[in-house]
Amino acid sequence: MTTSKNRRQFIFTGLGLSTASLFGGWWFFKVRNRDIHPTINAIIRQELHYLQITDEDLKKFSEELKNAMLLSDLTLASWSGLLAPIYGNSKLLDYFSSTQGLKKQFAEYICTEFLLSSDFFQNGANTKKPVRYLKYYYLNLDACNPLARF
Amino acid sequence: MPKRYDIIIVGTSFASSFFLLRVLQKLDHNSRILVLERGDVDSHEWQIDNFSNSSFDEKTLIDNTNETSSWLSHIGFGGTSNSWWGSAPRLMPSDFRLNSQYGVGTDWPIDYLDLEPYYQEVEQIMQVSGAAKKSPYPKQIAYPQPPHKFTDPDRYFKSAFPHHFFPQPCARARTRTANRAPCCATGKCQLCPVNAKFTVQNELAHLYKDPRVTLQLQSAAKKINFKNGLAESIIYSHNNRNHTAHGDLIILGANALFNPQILLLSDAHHAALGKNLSSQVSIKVSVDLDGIDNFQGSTSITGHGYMLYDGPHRSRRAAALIETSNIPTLRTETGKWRQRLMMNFIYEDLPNPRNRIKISRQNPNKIAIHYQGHSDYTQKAIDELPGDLDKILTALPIESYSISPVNQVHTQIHGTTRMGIDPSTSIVDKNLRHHQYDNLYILGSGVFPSCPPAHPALTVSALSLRAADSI
Repeated sequence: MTTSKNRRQFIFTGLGLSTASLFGGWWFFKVRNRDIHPTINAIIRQELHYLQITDEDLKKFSEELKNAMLLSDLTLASWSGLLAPIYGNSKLLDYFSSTQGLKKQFAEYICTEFLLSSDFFQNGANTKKPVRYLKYYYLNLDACNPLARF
Repeated sequence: MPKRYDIIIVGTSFASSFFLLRVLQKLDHNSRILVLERGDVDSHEWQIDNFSNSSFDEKTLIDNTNETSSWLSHIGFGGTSNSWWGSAPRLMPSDFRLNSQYGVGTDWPIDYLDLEPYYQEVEQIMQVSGAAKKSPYPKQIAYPQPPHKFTDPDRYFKSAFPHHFFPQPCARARTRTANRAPCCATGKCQLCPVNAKFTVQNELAHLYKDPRVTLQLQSAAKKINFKNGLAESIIYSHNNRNHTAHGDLIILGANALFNPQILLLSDAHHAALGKNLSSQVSIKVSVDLDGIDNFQGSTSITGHGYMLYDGPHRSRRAAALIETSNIPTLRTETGKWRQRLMMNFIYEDLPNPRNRIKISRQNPNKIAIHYQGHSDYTQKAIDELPGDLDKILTALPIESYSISPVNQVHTQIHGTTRMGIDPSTSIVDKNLRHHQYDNLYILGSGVFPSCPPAHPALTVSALSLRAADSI
């Protein structure tokens, strides 16, 4: 009795783990190298909806951000791909607080990178003025903290 | 015929470079010093272009048996001085007397005053910026560079905790030096774009051009040969061939991961060798401020809080050093972009002999890291963090805070070749001389008998100067 129960448990656990690994692997490889622009666009349009930013500027920012992430942090680059479907599509995942926390953190990271790479703070954080993307500040190697006082 | 040197030094990071600095001052012009560096010279320009501190993949040298934590050291000329953030606090006097003062951990065989003059010297060489007047620890003379500018939240902390909050002492230049630009708070200190932080490459590279010094790159020390109770020679590999160099004095300055490896492969076995691997435990706290803007400071990490460092609590739970970050992490709500404060709580740990370095069974060229995690003493402090935050954050108006999980990336690695008085429980004596072999010295944070909250680089450098003075 115990042996057959253990065998069933073993088979079902094995099947469950295999299915989960296959699905996880498929999802990971599908999204790992996807274009991150839709995610970036969705994040910035949602979080910074009150700012006037052109599509061209967001596209340019996405490209430079992706290049920098690939160069500097492959893990982060992978994560940004993984987060794309979470951010863009699945409202279901919002119910899980940990995912919400991760999503918020990632959105704030993207918005920070964009704002620091733009003329937003140079223009006194004026939300009425269109925001121009300048250059991804991470790549601009002599870029100092635009908010610092010396 | 193997070559003979007065001194053979392994490694080129803080520990080896400061040792070399002192011995070059002491030795005559005919002396010969061989320095073995496993990696290459990856220049600052190379590092910037490649977004990497090293062309050497150190993962090929490590079997990590606990994948939940990772251990980083950067191999190459200058070692971790290339990747450090420039944080340069001294240890507190109590860090040397943890057991006698708090009844936990282990005392050091030296005390704060033994290191004080060496701290001063290293601070001069690194051009450390720090508090103009008061420091959390006794200090004879002022820091060579003025302090970096606080952020506005730092000012609130200073006002609430005047005796426990200070500008972070750091080797990120406040004002231009001969070889370094002033820090401009890029927040990318691991690869400082403006070359503002002290590195061996920008301030001490000249030592390796001294005619008495032979710098042998891409040369991995493998084993020490012993004879008649002395270290006689060192075997190192270069261009896939093993070579032997004889030395009157042999100095291991690799790091806390690879120094024990060399000794284990040399049959210099000791019950304590490789044990007590430890690292500080850090936790980030994100604070949403209420009406205060942040990120005005003049460097990446602006404040050091000692509110949780010394005190009676240390007899039952770990001390913590608090960092306040000036690296922008913006909020997205209108008008609140800069109302965010990131804090880093760095906890000490009590070393555990079961956390250790061994030689990998699969590949003797690799080390195996066996790490079971931090101590209950540290966990107790982590568990009490919410209560601590409720007190500390009364210093400034806040909306809310959130605590991140424990950071499992260890970059400040301690233990494995501890110093002590008792040769049965420690590897080196108070001058970092091996208890068993009189002409063998072991440098670096591996010799720390405890794992204090403060960043180790300044202490490592000061200990190296002191060790070289003892010869």
